[in-house]
Amino acid sequence: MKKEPILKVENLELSFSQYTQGLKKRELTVITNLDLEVNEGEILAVVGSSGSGKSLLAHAVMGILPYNARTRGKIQYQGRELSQTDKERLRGDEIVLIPQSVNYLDPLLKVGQQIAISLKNETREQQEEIIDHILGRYGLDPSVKNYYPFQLSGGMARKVLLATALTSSAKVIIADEPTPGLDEASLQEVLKDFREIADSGKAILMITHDIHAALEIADKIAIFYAGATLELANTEDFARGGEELRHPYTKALCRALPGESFEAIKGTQPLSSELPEGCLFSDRCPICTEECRRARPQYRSIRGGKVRCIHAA
Amino acid sequence: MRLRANQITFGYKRGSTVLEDVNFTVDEGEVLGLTAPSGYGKSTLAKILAGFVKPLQGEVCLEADGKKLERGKGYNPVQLIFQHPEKAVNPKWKMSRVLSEVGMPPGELIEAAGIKKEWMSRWPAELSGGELQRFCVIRALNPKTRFLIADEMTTMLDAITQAQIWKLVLSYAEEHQMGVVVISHDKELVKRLCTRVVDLAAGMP
Amino acid sequence: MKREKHFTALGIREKTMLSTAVFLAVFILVMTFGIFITEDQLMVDLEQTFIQPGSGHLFGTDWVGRDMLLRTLKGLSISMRIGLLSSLISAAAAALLGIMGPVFGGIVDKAVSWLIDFVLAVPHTIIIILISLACGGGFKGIVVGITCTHWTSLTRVIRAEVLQILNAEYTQLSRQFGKSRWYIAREHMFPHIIPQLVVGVVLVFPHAILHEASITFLGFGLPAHEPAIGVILSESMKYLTSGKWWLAFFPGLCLVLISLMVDRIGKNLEKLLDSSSAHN
Repeated sequence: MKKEPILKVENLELSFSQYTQGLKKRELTVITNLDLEVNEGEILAVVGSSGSGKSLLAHAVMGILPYNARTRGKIQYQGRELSQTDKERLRGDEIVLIPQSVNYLDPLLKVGQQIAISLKNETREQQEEIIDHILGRYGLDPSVKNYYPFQLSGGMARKVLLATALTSSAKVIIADEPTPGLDEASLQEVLKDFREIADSGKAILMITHDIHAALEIADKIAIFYAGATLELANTEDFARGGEELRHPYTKALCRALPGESFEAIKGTQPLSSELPEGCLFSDRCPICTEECRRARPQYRSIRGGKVRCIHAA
Repeated sequence: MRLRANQITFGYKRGSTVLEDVNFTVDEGEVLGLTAPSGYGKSTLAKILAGFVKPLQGEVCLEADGKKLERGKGYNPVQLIFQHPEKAVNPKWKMSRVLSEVGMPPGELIEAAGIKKEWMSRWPAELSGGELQRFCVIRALNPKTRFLIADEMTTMLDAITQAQIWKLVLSYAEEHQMGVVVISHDKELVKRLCTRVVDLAAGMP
Repeated sequence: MKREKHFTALGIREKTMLSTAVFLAVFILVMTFGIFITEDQLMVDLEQTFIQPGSGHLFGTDWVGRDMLLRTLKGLSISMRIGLLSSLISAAAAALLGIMGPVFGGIVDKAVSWLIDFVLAVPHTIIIILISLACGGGFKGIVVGITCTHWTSLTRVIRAEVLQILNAEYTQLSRQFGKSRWYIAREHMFPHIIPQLVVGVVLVFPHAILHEASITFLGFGLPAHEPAIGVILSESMKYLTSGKWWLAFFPGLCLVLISLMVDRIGKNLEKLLDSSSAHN
């Protein structure tokens, strides 16, 4: 029997109303078609370049979007559609976010105290022990718990952010760009932790632009481009130069890796204000046809994955 | 011309140094990779190389024919590209002004960087990191720049944009005999780009 | 786009702009109207003394039969000119000191910080009285007194902003591009500071006019023959006990309303100029 995914996002659309000049207002659609689902015990990586709207996905699930944002589509948790009040109730307890930036740490609270926030049920001594243990795992000195955030280097701060979320007992962990600034050894440690946490039955949604990290631990990879998921691929599909991949963008992305052929296709991701009518990748696609320019392709299942391209077979 | 880091030592507190006795050279036209674990002080070293921060001891100097060059106050021939382009541009300036702060780069270069005409009239907040980094890179590709320090220049960018930007920088460096120092945690990238790699942690206890 | 219809006709931004425009119009109207009120219109008319507020005289008349509405407007106009002048000078001083401190650094910055702390540490009503007296009182004395005490908070704000910009990567890059300190101050910093300055000027203004009124009320400010609000209020004290409430009530109320209104303009501008609230 197919298990119900713990977190499912279906056809999410997200837009902001903005003032452009003076009193002219416009609605800017940042996410057009976002679909993804993650099961318990699974790591799903959402890979996309900056400006593709990945972080907003995390904010939408947590219910922390700015007030001028509007969403359409469904976000389901354990088979139930989430309302704003649900999100507020669940966040921090059942769904936690590992934020992207160091600025999310409270500047006036020592590191140890911030980690302890998610350790509500433990005694003081237990808390101390867990904190020391966690810091030690990432090669941080126990004295780091007495530091204030401004005393941390970029990599150290990232480890602290991870530590605060990894100590919690949440069922879904959303990690927004958890890897930049980490050296090889700490990266491996973090990725190993993610795997262990997932294997203990939790679901992890890792939002990243770093395919390397994604390939190393994720079970599935959702490719995000200009506000839409173009492909849901299995990690193995990226092997052998990406032959098995379904979408031309994913293939190009795979070939651009320094470890692959480091080839770059021309062009840039379209700005949210200038999205094409048809397929979002149509202006850079080598196999684009008239039909591609006419309408956005449907998301369909192919070879154990999903793709939003009419030519994929 | 050659860029020399000579016995550079740096620290914020007395007694505890971040960088200790760092030595290396980069020749013009050479692409050198610097690697070290996080917290080693790579970003600080980048800032020292580009003149943003003075080292506690040691010096960064330019040499030609084995002789040290005196450096004036004007344009620094050693330019730095940061990891986060959104901090490296004035948010109150439109992109065309950002680009032309040291003189507008030639049209071919702008085109080669994949910068679209429409972006010129935009504010930095309206562009993504990948687009902004293109501006920051070609702003630094000035004829007066002899060495480029790339501190995790493409770490925040997707693989395609990364490949695009590095292709541009490498071909420019070769054509203009500009030296490049690549600071990155990504071993594959360093291997792909650099002709020589210096491991800063090698000499450490 | 069609979707725009989903939004209400007046967004927060429209409302803010509308209220700012209305307040600004009232402000300019009161100030210019006050300037055109001549001595002739404020003539003594002993047949019309102590008329209660009503249709003939909206604010009533005083003990020598002068119309209190005209006197109030004239007084407000004087107060507003004092307020405007002193807040403009304060802002200029704040811009100069706030940029100079961090840009030159070292002893200059120390001196600026010390001066700010020094002025803030002394109760400013007393300093205003002392400076005003030392300058011989009157319009000049009050403007100098208020300016000397009200540049501090804005200078602090601007100094903090400049310090932050000075450490920003783009200004440090600008140094490496060979740009001068003067270029960086002018091109990189000034655009960031203008909004702060504008808001600063407007927010100092209510302080300035209330101080002017209180100092004048106490007798250290404008001379008794000027129809300033402070003068009106102190004169009306004599008649308050005999039930002539309108002499103090309307001028006082108008002063408070004008202060609140300008304060609101300042807060509105702050909202409109802050790019992070540029949406909706």
